[in-house]
Amino acid sequence: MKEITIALMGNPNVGKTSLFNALTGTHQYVANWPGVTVEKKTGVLKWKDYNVNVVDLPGIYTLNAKSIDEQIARDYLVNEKPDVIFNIIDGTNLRRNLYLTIQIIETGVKTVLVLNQMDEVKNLDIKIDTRELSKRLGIQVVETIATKGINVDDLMKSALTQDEKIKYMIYPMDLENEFSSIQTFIQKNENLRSFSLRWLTISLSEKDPYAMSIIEKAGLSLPDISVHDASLRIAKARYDFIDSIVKQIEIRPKEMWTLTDALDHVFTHKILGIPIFISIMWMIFEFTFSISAPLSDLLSKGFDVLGTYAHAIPGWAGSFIGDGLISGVGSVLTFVPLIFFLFFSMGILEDSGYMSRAAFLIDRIMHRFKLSGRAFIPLLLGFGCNASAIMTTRTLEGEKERLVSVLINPFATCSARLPIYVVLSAAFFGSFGGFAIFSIYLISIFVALTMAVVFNFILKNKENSPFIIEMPRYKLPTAKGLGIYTWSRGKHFLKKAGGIILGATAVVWLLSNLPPNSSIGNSFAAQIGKTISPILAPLGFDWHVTLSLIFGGVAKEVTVTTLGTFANGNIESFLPTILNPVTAYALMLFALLYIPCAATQATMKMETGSYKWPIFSVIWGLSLAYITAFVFEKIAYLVI
Amino acid sequence: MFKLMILASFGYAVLTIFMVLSRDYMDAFVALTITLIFIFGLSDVFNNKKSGIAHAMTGSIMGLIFEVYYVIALLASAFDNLINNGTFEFKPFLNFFIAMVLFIFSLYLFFHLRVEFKNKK
Amino acid sequence: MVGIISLDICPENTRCILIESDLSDSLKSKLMSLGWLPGREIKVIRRAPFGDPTIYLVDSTEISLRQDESKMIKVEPLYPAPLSVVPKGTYVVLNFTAGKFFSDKVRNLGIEIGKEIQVLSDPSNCKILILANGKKFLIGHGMGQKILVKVV
Repeated sequence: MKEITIALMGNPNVGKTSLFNALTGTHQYVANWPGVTVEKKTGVLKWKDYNVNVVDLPGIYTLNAKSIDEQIARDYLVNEKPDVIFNIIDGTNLRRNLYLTIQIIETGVKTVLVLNQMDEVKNLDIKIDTRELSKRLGIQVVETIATKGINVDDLMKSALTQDEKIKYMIYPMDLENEFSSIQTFIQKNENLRSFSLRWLTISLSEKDPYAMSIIEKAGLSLPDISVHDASLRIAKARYDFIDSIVKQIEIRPKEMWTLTDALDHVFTHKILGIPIFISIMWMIFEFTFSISAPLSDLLSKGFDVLGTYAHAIPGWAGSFIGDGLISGVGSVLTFVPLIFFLFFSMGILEDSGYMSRAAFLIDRIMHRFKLSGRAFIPLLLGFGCNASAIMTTRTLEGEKERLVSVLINPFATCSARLPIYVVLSAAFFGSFGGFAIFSIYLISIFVALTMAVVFNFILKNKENSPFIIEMPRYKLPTAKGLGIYTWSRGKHFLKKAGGIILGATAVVWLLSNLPPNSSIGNSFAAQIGKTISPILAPLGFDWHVTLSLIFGGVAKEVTVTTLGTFANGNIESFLPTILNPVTAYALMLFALLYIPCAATQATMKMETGSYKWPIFSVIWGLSLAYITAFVFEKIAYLVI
Repeated sequence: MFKLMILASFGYAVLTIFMVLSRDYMDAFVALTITLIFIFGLSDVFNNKKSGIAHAMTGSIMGLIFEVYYVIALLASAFDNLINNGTFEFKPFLNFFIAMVLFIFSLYLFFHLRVEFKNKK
Repeated sequence: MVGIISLDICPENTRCILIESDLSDSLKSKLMSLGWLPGREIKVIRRAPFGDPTIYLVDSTEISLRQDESKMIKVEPLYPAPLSVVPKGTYVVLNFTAGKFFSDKVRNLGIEIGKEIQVLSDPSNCKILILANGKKFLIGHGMGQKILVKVV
């Protein structure tokens, strides 16, 4: 068995993920790049007598690393030196894509150009002379339509073919002369042998910080050679080179109006754009919740039935299995449909290309709150699950903006809190239930945005993070791509939250059923609740509610199951005995604001690098929740 | 195409009204948006601008998405009712019916436009 | 310099050439990798409903930029250009990007397709001073965006 490592590199939106999926199928493994929370996808492919390790690198436009994604890709390329790079490019956009290609080739790693989206190329009547392209670049070129399946043999054969060394005439003579002195300097030093000469030379001439740090680490001091206007001249030279190639190999019809242009005319219309945005957001929202409801209910009923069977086991054990374990597992699994459909919807938004338009439309409003249109996405995802949404804040470029996005995310009411609203609304608000829940969502948005301004002020954020988003072509999402994405995200949530919830339910059961042979009212749980409840008494929350909130702090889903334990299964008739409509809504507000769940606190710590921020979130959230619920009740009692 | 767009505007306007009547305000908002997409396109078509077909295309696509979503949402809530209350209630039926009609119409409109779009290129 | 303006005042459908940009290094590098180099053509595609950001097209790639950034980018408009971005000089009116109602309105001011007019003020976000049919008058920025002219 021979081992070979292939890394996938390319611009965002070129179909890298489709290729990765096509190569590795279900043999994928998702982790994080060390020290950061950018996703690292690796997979395995068995081909002939090769064991192929496939690594999916983040989508980037250039190796001149300024953002985390670019740094990761560059570091991997320069330090780990994979055997082969599959450089995936979008056939309809050669010029821009080839910019990265040139940089990759300059690192000296064996590169295969994967010319993807050939179906769209054909649709647009573009003709590309692949053979000439291969000749001019000196590397193998393979045409693919990754979404329709790929020819692994072709790709692997190209990966293993030795390329003929050709000389590129990219940079003008004056630039090359300026390079040569740097080059000589590098060649003189043993310690720099492991790095690609070309890459290091050019990077040093641009005064790239990473390249300079390599020199320093090698104990050398930089030569006093400066190439004036290096970056600009290098970029220009590269594009001139690319232009000359593209002119020769590409024939495209004159500027035409594509379907994307036509759709954008309406989707970003001055007047229609926003209503369409609201419509799409609403449909996604309703679709997710409506479709998952029957499945969740079915599961819940199923577990109830299982639970009653468990009671056939006598005594303590039967109760533990029935009310503790099965009930606990049931409460986790009834959210599975919801999570899956939520991520399914997110996947559609992302893959179709509409996500960028949404960010574009909403940027002005976000900017008012000192966020960018891109921050809309983590905020939107927060409505699914705060813990995983916070992980997507990595795409934001400014440190401060990222921190603010992390801190406001818990105010986006996640799907785990939904059962709290649903149960309370069902018990108190009847046909206005849906409206009550929707109002909570609106308040959630309002609070999150307001907090963004507040946090920005507190953190004295003077940083201006620019907003450059690409508007990719509209595409029909593929079932396979969506399936893999939804499955991996859903699994991720289950793994993270599942254990905690199960554990929390077990703890709740234990505390509620000990000391043994006592009634619920005398259990340890009740004692804890009763001790703390005076604090929440002004809000009209008794010890049942207090205890549920405490347990809910660990995992929001548990709030309802705790109440359910007290209600002995009949929540709807139990709740009116401890709350009234005003306090019920106040409770909804409290649950919306009080603290991020344990999983969220964990990712907060991961993203911000310190415990300071989760702790701050807890204190801030509690205070805000208390004050808001209090004020609401006072006003409500005055009005009613 | 002009006539088709007038039909579409009318059809979605009707759906909007019925949805408002059944107090389904958010869905009515979506139906209203689609109606507006077609109406705004009418003046473009009248002036022979190429953006007219964009409106028609977008309207038909949004319409299709909306109808699929709406039917699924209705079915899901009907099943939910079945599971929770044991009764199978499929309402509002009139809206469902109009939505199905519009779905078939939008489908036809979409394919018709696709051909027209390719030819205009 | 004659004819050089900032990108943010170019209305939709303007085509222009990138001259230089006054941005931070990291921003410049990001834009360069997307094809934004001096000498390249930029087309203004769409402004967001709230006025910001704006979508630009360079080399088959559409990206959106905020005014904070686009006002630092210097460009030179290509003709036919909207009246609101052209420097002082003599021009012939080529087209309008609005309907019959608009063209009737401006005909009364002496602005007609095929006719020559003079622009007497520098491009800005305010009113434009025009000389047409022997009369001097001011027209609004919004109006100026809808009149396409070519330099004579």
